[in-house]
Amino acid sequence: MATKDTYIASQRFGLGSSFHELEEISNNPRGWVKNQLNYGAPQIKDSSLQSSKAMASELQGARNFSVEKKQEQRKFFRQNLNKELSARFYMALTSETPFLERLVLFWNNHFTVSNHGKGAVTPYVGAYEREAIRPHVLGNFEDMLLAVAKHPAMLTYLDNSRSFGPNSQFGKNRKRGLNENLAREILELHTLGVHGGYSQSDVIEFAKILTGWTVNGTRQIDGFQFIPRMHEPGSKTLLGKTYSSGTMAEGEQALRDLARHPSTAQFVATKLAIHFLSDTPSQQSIDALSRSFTANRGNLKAVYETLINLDEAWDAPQTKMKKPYEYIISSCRLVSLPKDKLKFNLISQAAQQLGEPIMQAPSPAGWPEKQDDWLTPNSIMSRVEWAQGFSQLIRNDDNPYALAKAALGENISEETLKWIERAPSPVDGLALLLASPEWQRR
Amino acid sequence: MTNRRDFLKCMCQSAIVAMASSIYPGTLFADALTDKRFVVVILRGGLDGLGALAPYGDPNYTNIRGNLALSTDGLLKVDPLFGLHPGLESFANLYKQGEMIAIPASASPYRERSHFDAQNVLELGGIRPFDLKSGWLNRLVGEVNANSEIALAFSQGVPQMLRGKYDVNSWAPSTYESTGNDYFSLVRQIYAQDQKFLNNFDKALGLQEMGMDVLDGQNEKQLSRQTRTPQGFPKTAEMAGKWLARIDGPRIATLELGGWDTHVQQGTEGGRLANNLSLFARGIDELKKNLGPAWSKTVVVAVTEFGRTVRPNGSNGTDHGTAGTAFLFGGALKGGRIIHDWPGLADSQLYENRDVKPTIDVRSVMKGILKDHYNIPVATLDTTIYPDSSSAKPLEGLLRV
Repeated sequence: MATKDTYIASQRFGLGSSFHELEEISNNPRGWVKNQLNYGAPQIKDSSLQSSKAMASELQGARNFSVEKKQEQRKFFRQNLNKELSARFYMALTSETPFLERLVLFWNNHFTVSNHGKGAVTPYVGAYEREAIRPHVLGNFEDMLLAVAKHPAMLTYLDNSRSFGPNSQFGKNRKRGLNENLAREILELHTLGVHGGYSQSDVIEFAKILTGWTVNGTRQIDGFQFIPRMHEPGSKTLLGKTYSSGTMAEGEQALRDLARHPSTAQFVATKLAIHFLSDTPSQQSIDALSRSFTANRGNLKAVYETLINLDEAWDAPQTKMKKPYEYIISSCRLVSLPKDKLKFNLISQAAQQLGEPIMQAPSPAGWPEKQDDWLTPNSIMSRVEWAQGFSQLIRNDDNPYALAKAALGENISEETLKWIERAPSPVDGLALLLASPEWQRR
Repeated sequence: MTNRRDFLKCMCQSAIVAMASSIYPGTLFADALTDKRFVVVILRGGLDGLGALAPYGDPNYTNIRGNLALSTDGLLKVDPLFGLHPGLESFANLYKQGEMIAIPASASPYRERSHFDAQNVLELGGIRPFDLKSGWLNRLVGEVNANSEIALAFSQGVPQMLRGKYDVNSWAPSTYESTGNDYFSLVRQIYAQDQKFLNNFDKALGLQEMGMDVLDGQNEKQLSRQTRTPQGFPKTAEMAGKWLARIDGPRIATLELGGWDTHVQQGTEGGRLANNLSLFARGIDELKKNLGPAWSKTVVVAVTEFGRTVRPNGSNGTDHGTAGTAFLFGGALKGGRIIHDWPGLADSQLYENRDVKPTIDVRSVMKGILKDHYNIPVATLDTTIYPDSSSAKPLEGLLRV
């Protein structure tokens, strides 16, 4: 039976566990979590996946394609994305470092890109996580921030590739101006936070700094290109500091300065604590994470170590709701779902039905994290229904009562166990386990 | 073996329900302090206003619309300047009965051309994309009846127009074929230990039970497939009408109809746009039919995120534009009018030499309705419902009141 620590390691830090993994965790739950930090970056090893640079090249000249060619290309992008998402799902399903996968999901949501209502992002949204997030998950925050800000997915999603310095050569010729979108969201959602102490004029100045950062499939590696003739000339002042080199270095330096700003440490610390610990984490925990972020100059591995060492991480009651995608993955891991048992499109549909369609967050703020966002009539009913459909489909042979004891141990009530045990069939028993509050929370 | 339908029925007849029925279904919507119905139909993708309501009296219309100009002979000429697309006969009938208003050259404050940002501005009611965190319709729920969940979205999830701090619900036919013997009652036993789970599950059961009533034996899974596409819109509207007609039903609702992004081969009297317009018209008919007597207390407003280019593009379609056309329906309207400040279609009269120039703010339309329909003070409309919008004055005299 799972001890509390085993449960916390598997659910709060992991993605749910099979019998086999639970046994391994129980030897040393905290060590099991910490040890994952010694692995390399959690890369998806699949050489058939294509880079965003290749996608950008596909799009060269697309403006002049025939209608048929455009449709064909859209289909190709959709299929390609499906392949990406499928590889990503199976990675999470089979990973021996599920804590790292949780961190990937966390950072992907922190730096949200989405093709919801914005088809232009579709070609890049799959490669984005592999290229900008995964390599830096165990690295440094500012390196991730730079990789994200230069990625074609982000430059397209938040319109920076359409932002022209009004006094730049291209801006004057084409009478085009600034698009503040990326600059605003980096300040508000990625670094300082909305109360982080910046003004509308900082947004504008930062937008000027970022002009010229755009997407091009023909030249630079990774599909990113700095176009000097789009870049606003002259000096800019962001948060009191002047940037005036007139090159891409302005933006790179500004991003590094933002990453090192004290508000960023607080903001990132708060988000991590809310994601992993509780909807209302203690100020003490947030401060510890924030201090660690600052003292280690954004070294994320050190911040995660602080997180794992927090008392609150192991003591806080299980009030967090799993988000739908995490709920689905953990359910699949619980029953050690073999790769061939479930087609990815069923997972993709399920995520949609449970309210978190993959890579389609409704806004740059990403998917919400709190209980009230996911404990609604609609989401509960769809989970109850999905749990039954899933259980019928996979026909798992394990005894659901034993599975519940092993996975949740003392964190599942006697009452819930009783009903699982009394269920008319193993299929119903598993459905009840997956629908139980104890399995939906962590 | 019983199915969900039977489970719900049995719940309602049995003793458990003495307890459960104090939670649902009655109190889901019944505390509503108003009997006025307000329905927003979100036309996603950018409806080509000129394709739905042709300004045939504008001297430049036929010429500038080129291949996409509708033949003047076939138009339903409800007004000396404007004629409805020939497929919109039912709109013309509503117009004659004083139950329809069209408002051409209207737009939200958004002036660029991204669907994503334009829908955000339309739905949140801000000035720029993402400058607000909740939808204006959710804020309206707070003003009309903050303590009762009077709003229902007829879709899989809640559209951002209706999302925010006030509780709202959504309903769509379920995708799942529940073969679930006692599954639901077992789930309920387990949830009895967790008040939040129990409350939310009971609310969901309440919604499903009313849904069963509305569905009246129709195959839910089949309906679910059907209502996911624009073709299912009349069906969704039929069900919405039945929900809204109930005394214990919702008062505020959203429906969505996509398929308007006609970049390619949009057609004229027939074709892609005509097909979608016909779905739109059939949906409004279904709403009226199924609302029954409640139609007289109803305002339906159909809005899109932006209009489309005036001239055809290179693929016999139209690209993203600026001003579009809003449609109002309902027995509460003082209708039979085209309300406009028509900017004209000469090259020099277009917005950025390509789009219909916006002359009426969509927020003014909404404010005009809400002011009279729900007696919302103008000061509240200018701040809470549409922040920083006092320059967009309510359009007066839209309703019979």
